[in-house]
Amino acid sequence: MNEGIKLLIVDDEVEFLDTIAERLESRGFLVTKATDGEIALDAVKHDRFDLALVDLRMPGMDGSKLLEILKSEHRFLEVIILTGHSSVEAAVECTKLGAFDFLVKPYDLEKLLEVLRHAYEARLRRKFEHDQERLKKLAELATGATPLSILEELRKMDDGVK
Amino acid sequence: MNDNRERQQLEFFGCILASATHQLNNVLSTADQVVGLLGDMLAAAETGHRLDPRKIEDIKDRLLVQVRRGADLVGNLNSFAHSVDRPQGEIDLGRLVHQFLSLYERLAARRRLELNKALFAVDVGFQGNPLDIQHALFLFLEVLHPAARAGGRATIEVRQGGKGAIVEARGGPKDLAIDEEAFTSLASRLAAIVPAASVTRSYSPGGDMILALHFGNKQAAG
Repeated sequence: MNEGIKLLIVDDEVEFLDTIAERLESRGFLVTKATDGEIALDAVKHDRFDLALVDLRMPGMDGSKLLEILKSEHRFLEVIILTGHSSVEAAVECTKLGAFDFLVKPYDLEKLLEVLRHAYEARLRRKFEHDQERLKKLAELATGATPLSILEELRKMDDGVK
Repeated sequence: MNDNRERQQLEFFGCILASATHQLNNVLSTADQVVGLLGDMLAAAETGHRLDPRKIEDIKDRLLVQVRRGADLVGNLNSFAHSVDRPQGEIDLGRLVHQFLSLYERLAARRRLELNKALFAVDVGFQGNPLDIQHALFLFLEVLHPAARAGGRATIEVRQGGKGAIVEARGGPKDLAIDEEAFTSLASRLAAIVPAASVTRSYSPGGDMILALHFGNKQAAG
């Protein structure tokens, strides 16, 4: 059921990153790996992801800053934060900033898969609602607006949608 | 020991413990995933997939790397904790710095500073207090910042100097940046917390900045 879900994993712990990526790939996820925030931002410029798994404490740009940028530029991307025991409070703050959930390392893979499944369902639901709204707006506009104003309205609605 | 010094030592201890336990958690999390990968392979074998001996060997090596990394960390952390047992004595500075840098690794990485420990001189010994020396090292390392956004590289060298010993951090114009305020603040904090240490800043003919931490032979800061 995970086939084709595009997942970005961001963690500076390379061996951890490689291993979790390998395990999730074997379960059907299409995984892209990034070892820091800048590499992650570069990856999202070139590809569309459904979900992102982001380590909170990283050199340079930390996970909360990356979350902020990802959520502002990719409205439907669901972000799950990974954290150590000492940063649980910061991870809770991240959920207030838009993270779907957080997991404390080390965590059980089954737990991660469950969170990823829920996050993907949430993404699909929000995207569906957006598309419905878009269609409704289109129907309203079609009755009297000019083609140019219709395009302008749709552009506004799609701002931040990737 | 006054309250302020005691509090600063506790903060220093806390920072190092937090850094080391974070690294240890990463080791355990990675080992946990590698074991999980082995579990995945065994589960696949139960459904008829062939077990690849090369993959098993690879997993064994990956686990071994984490076990050794964890053992080194625990050993260094234990030595650090026992620094308080012996207030004064003969110290192998190269070894002490090497041990301390391994605990400090995470804090350096968060500032995108790569510490090259390859240049340790050996057998640099002198009389000192191991806890104070590590506290001085901590303050010294905390002012090192990469000048370039993408990260800098500082080489750390330990050598004999006069009647004492010197820990030297050196980096090119793109590698290290220490502003005047940070340098002055370091000098005054060292004087207040670790009187046996002092710091100097100079530049090599090639433009490298050299920040030197002196133990046991007071230098004029500048």
